[in-house]
Amino acid sequence: MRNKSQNLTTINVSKLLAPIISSRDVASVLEDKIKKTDTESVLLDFTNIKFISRSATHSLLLLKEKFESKTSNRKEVSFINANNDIAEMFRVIAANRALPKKEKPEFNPEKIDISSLLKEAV
Amino acid sequence: MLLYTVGNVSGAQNAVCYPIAELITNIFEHSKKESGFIFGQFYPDKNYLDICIVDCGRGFAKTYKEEKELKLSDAEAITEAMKGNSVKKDKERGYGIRTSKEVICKALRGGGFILISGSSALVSTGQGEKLVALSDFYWQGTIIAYRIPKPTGSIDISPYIE
Repeated sequence: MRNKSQNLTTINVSKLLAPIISSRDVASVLEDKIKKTDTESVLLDFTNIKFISRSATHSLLLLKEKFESKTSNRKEVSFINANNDIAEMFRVIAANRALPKKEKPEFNPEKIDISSLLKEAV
Repeated sequence: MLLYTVGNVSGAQNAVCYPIAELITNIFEHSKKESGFIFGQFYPDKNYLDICIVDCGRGFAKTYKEEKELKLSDAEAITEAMKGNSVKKDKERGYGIRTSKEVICKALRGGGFILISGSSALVSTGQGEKLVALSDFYWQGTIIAYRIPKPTGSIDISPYIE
C-alpha cells in the first residue's frame, strides 16, 4: 500500500509471506519487493504474524541495514504492528548485534559411553 | 496441531515454534539435503509432547571438514557446534542449536534434549549434559529429539535466545 503524500509504502508481511516466518530466505523476497517501491520509507507491517524465528529476524535486521546504508536508492525500513513476542525477538537480536557477547559459551559435558548411560538409566 | 496440543498459554507458541524453526532451517542450510523429517507425538495422559527432527545429510563432522577444513571426530564436531562455532562466514551465526536447547530445557522446562550425529550423542537434561559414544551405531546425518511437558504457566524465551 503506497501513501505518496507521506512518501511511504506499507508491505503486509503476513499477506506476502505467511503468518509464521522461519527461514532466512524471507529476506530476499522482501528485498525484491522493497526495491520495487518508489518511496523513501517502507513499513513492514507485522499484523497477523504469529511467530518469527531468530534466523529470520537476523536476516531482516541485515536487510534493514543494507537499505539504510545505501548511497543511491536509499530507503528507511521500519517494522510496525509486531506483537510482543516478535518485538522482543527483534530487540534481543538487535541488542546482540549492537553489543555481541565476547566470551564463548561454556560447554563441558561429561563424556561417557552408551553402556554407562544405560546402566545409569536402569 | 502442535500449538493446539500444548495449550493456550502466554508465550507457549513462541517457545514451541522457536526450536522447530531453527532446527529445520539448519537442515536446509547445512545438511546438503533438500528434505528432512519431523515427527510429533503428544501424550495426553502423560501431558508431554515428543518431537523428533531428522535429516540424512552430511552430519556435523563432515560439514566442518567440507566448510572449514577442520578434521573433527563426531564428538568434537558436536562440541564445536554447541560452542557456537558456525561454518558460515557471516558474523552472528551459530546460535540456533544452542539456543534451541536452552529454550527446550530451561524456558519450556523440558524433559530432555538429544542430538545424534555420526557415532556421538549429546544428551542434555535438567540434571546435566553428557556426550555419549555410541558403539555399533552410526547415523549419516543428524537426529534431534526432545520432550517438553505441557506448559502450565506463561513462558518467556527472551533470556535464552541471546
